Amino acid sequence: MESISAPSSHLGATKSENPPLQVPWSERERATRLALAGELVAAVTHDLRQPLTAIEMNLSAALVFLSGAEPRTDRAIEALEDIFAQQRRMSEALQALEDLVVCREPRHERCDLTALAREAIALIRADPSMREAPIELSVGSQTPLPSVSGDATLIRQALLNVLLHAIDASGGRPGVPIRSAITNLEDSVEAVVTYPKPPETAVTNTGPGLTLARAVVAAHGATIKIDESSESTVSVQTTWPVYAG
Amino acid sequence: MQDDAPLVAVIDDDAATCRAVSRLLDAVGYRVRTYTNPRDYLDELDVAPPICVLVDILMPEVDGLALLREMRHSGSDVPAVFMTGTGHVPTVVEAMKEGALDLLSKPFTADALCATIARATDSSRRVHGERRDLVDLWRQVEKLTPREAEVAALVACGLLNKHVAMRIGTKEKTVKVHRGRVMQKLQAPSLAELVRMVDRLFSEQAPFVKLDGVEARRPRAADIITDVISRERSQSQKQV
Repeated sequence: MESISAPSSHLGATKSENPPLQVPWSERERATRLALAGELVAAVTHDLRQPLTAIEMNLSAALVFLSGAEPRTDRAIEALEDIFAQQRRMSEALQALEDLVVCREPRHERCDLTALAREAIALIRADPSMREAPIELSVGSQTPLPSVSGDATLIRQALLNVLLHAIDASGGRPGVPIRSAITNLEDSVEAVVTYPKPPETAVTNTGPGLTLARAVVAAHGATIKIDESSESTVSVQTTWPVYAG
Repeated sequence: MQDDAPLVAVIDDDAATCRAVSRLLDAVGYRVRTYTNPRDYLDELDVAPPICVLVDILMPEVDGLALLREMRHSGSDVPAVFMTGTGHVPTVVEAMKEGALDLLSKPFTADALCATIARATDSSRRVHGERRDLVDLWRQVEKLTPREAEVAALVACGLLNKHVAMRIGTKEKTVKVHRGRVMQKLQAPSLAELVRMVDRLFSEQAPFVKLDGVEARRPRAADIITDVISRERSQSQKQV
């Protein structure tokens, strides 16, 4: 059976004093998959509840407008047009879900990395337990930032995973911010997430979130680098190629 | 839409939800003001308060719970109905603790929304009516002199004119004159009505209330009445 061994806390530790932590790989993989599925379901459920509410309200309003003694067809038409817009919004949410769970080649379209980072932060804050997550976002002064080439759904998911990894790794210490920055590097655009270094000596460049982010980065010809040289912080830098048309 | 139709404020950062809820409420006869940013609502707190506020719990910057806290802190007691897209139990519990009148879980039906808003409207009207009555009572009580306020309280406690005269150190005849003025100034048709008025002043001792955005303060005569009743009640307890 495949297993993961936790590193000994000190070199002199013997096997009997400090036995390696045996975690079956299949169990770990299943737990990872369940955690990702949970996040996914929460995000998609939230994305569907809003348009569903709007559709119900618009349909009922249209019925009221049409069933009066003097039908207000113009108002009913407005409501029905809004229903179409909300139906498209639901389709997009479902498409995003499908894109995440179905294996396929990533699209190469024009993407706004700043907007995707903002969406990833909004998705994190949609979870009530993360509402107060201290995440800051800064954007380089060279505006407008060039678009990057890639699959918006996957890039957003990669940024989301890096941020979730940062929250997990920094232990969610209240008041200690996680800083994210988007910078123009001419032929690429860089997204850097910096978080406080965990107090204990822990392996910070692994975890299910980063594994998924690495896979997305590789599929886009982008790069990911983890910088632990600072005494107080860890930075995860992802660099995305600029869209060339 | 009639100008005197009840006004509902809808606050949701999702513009499509805001528009759709507002459209339905408009269709069934409410006036609606919508806000996609809670700060804009807080900036307009003093402008014609709505009969109820329908607010999303999860919003960036200021969420629904923080908004309600700020409203209450600013003296606004407009009934709040929360909308939520999450079944997160602690959030729901917190919302109810903050004094939400009701909570609608998205996606909710038009019937559920209309029933909840109707309930909130009734509650708001009842509170508004009670407050108007209290302010009207304060306006009448304000006309009493300190001595008349004292007589009003003692009479309402069930004392006979001669006993009132002994308490305040005057003649029974003078008490009769004061009592007549009290009944006239308070427009109390009977002793029973005077007792009801005085009881209300004793049971509601808020120093001020806001009515239609205007602050009304409790008059000094109302405090005199409350003090006299407290004193009388503590004396009768000692005697028992």
